[in-house]
Amino acid sequence: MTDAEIPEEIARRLRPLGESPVPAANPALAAFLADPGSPVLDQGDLPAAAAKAPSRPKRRHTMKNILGDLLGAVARLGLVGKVALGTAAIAVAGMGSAAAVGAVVDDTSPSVPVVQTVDESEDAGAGTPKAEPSDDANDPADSSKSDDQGDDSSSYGGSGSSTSDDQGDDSDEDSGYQGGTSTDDQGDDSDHQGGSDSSDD
Amino acid sequence: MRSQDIRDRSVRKEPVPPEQLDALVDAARAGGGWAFERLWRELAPSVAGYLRGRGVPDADDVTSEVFLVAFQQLATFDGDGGRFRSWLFTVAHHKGVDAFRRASRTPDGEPYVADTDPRQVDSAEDSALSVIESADVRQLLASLTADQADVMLLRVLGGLTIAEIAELTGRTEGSVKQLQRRAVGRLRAQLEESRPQPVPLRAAPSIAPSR
Repeated sequence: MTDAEIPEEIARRLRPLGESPVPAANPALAAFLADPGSPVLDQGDLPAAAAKAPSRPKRRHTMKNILGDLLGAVARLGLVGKVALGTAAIAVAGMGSAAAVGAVVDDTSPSVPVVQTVDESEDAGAGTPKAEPSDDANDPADSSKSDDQGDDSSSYGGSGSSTSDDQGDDSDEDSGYQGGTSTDDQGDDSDHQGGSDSSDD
Repeated sequence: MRSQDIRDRSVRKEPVPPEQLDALVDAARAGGGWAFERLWRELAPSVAGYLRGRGVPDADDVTSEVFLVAFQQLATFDGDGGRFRSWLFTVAHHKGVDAFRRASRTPDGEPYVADTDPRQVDSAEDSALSVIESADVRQLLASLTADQADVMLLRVLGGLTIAEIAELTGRTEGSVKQLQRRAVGRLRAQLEESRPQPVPLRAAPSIAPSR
């Protein structure tokens, strides 16, 4: 016996499976066998023949069936398709998360630069970065500055950093108030520029 | 061979001889209506048995679908009776796969009501199941994997060669041979187990020579 042959004993045990009675033809085939020349085999007439078939169970469009269809469609996808689908899902989820985080950050971020939180004493020695807001504050013609000042007071919730208060309040700032805003520097030009330079020297 | 001989041949259990199958296919291709009927009666049992052996749901209906497709494309089919038989089982294999998918997608359905079914013929499936059970074929096939059972049924019932099965299932010939070899091994073991074991004879008491 070659490798491709099946032992006769086993074949004999399996053959009864193919010796069953002739099954009943379904209506479409029965219609064809009754009249082979009928147009039942035309593609357009097959639905009509199927319509004569005994009523089969109709599927209802329930969520369970729809979910089953979707899972079936995914199951029919190949490995590449499944990987692509997973990648796309992850990408969409990531983009959604990024958009959400971006929206939150936009809502909570201050509307002024963070330069306000920098220690004044250290910056006074460097003497560079904090000059800009003070310059702006001293420029009464700059209309945008007035807007910024208003934003400062509102965003910090009235922490005592309003322009009018701090401009004439040099002693308070010198005595240790370090948490001022850009407006802290507005009346303190001498301390920050000339004063600090002389002390360093 | 006269067509009248083929037409009058009663349905027998043994497979139709190859030359008669050739004549039937030629006659059907020429449009002989009686040939379609004969092809159905000759080949439908083995196709239905193949589908039942694979556990295809509603195997009788799927068998009808297989023949409807085959008859639909018979005009374009080029080959003899043996090739037609192999092609029929190829269609049956694909239809069986489709039926499994359909069944998996439709877990729910309205219950079957026998009174509304216009088919008056007794269910051949029931008859066949009794035959299967009596022959223990189902038990034999249950010991195989689905792929092994598919190969064995295509080989025994469909008469397909290793190469044809390889082409049909998208496997290599070596893979199909391996499936068949393992299936034969399992079936042999199953048959050995089902055979009645001989009752061991008691050893005769040794009679010690008397001194």
